[in-house]
Amino acid sequence: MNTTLRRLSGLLLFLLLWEGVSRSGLVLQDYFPPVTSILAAMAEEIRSPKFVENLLTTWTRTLGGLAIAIALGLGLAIVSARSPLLRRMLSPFVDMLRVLPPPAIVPLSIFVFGIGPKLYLFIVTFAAIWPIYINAVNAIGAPEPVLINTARSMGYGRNEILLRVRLPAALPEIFTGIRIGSGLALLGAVASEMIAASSGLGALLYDAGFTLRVKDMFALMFFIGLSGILLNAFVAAVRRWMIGWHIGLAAMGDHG
Amino acid sequence: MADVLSAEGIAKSFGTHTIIRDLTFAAHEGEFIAVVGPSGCGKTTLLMCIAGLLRTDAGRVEFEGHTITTPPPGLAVVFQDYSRSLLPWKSNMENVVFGMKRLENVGSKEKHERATEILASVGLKGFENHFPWQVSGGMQQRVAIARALGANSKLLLLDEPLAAVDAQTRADMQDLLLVLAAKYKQTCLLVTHDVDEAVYLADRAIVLSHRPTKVIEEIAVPIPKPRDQIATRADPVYLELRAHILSRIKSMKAAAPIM
Repeated sequence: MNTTLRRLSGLLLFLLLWEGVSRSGLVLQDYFPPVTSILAAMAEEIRSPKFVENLLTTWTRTLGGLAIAIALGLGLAIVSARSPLLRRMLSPFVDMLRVLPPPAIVPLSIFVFGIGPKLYLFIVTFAAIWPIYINAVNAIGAPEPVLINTARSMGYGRNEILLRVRLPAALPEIFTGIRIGSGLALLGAVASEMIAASSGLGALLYDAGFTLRVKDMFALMFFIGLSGILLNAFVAAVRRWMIGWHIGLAAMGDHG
Repeated sequence: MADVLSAEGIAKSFGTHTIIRDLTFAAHEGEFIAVVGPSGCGKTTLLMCIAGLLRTDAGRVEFEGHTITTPPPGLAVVFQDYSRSLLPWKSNMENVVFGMKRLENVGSKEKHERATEILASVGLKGFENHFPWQVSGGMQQRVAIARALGANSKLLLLDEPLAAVDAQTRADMQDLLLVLAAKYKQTCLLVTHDVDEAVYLADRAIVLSHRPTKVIEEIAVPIPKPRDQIATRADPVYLELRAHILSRIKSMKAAAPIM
């Protein structure tokens, strides 16, 4: 509880400073509205069913794309871990594609998918998949030799070891990838909505910005930031649930 | 007594490094063999070859009359690094059950009963549902030993199993190993750099040379069992064998070009 307070204190101080600077007249309030007025705008938006619908749309796109990225990324990592040749063949593509900003593939994706749900899911998946794949393939590909030898001596075959030893042993690193990927998924969703959608937080933000509704614009940015915090907390909760053993192990200082 | 295990002229190289050259020995049923040698002499490589985890370049290893090419049933390995050989996401009980892969006709309930019984016999009653990382190093190694026994092993390969536990625990674990070997009718092959431990536990000690490794001496340890940490270690036979093996290893060190 105390640590939560300390963590929030930095944010609170920042918002207080913001409020002060905005109200002091040092900056133009039209472009830099006080926090309280932004909070008021947020309160108003959250009461509107239309806004909530847009919020849920962005969340659905983010979570949907993230789920596909996890399934594809892990699937690909497992297959790559089984076949070093495939892994080497994929490597240059992965290195090239992972540095491509998600908005850069929006125009091409529109040619392929048209404007619609498939487009946003594709962009989100594309944004999120690389850190998930890379972390998973590295962790699954570098197992603890003693663990593998133990399982082999017990009579476990290659595929069983992959699924029952290497994969669970890699889960901590896999979750690191998912955590990074979840942030990128939200980024992909908002970016694709700003460029090519009429719904979702990204589209609302774009609209608010270019119609000079500054308070609404800030309010939307806050909502996107809050969505990121919630998403991160969600991933952290799933991680605690799935790999509580790792968290306990790390807290013990590795060797007990 | 029948030979449970025999190694005939085995050799192993990694690239241009010859680790083992022409090594031959056998283990009789129920025997406790300790393999000692100067550090870096390829003891672990030898054990991996015997376990079927490494292919030999020449010669062959036979276990119960069959040539070993892959890890055979009935043979279990206990590694030095217990914290890395146990699955940290499984409880102690589930780790032991995980080792019962080859008991295909045994139901899950029966496996758990068996695991409970074996964990009790290694002194871990009440720790079945703990995770390995929640118990001490000595207890983790007991879980690993229980897992090996649970797999219905006949031959236990012990790769410096006690090198990483503290001295007090080590003495207790040595006695536990002797008790378990007798209770579960195990043939044991212990690889160790600790000459005292080798003489204390073994019915026969095999002394290895520097790399490329071969057997330079086989010594019977005619000290009656059960052994006792105080009486056995004061036994003149124990002291003589210990001094003899130590001097063999020391002379090898002196003769070694670079080590």
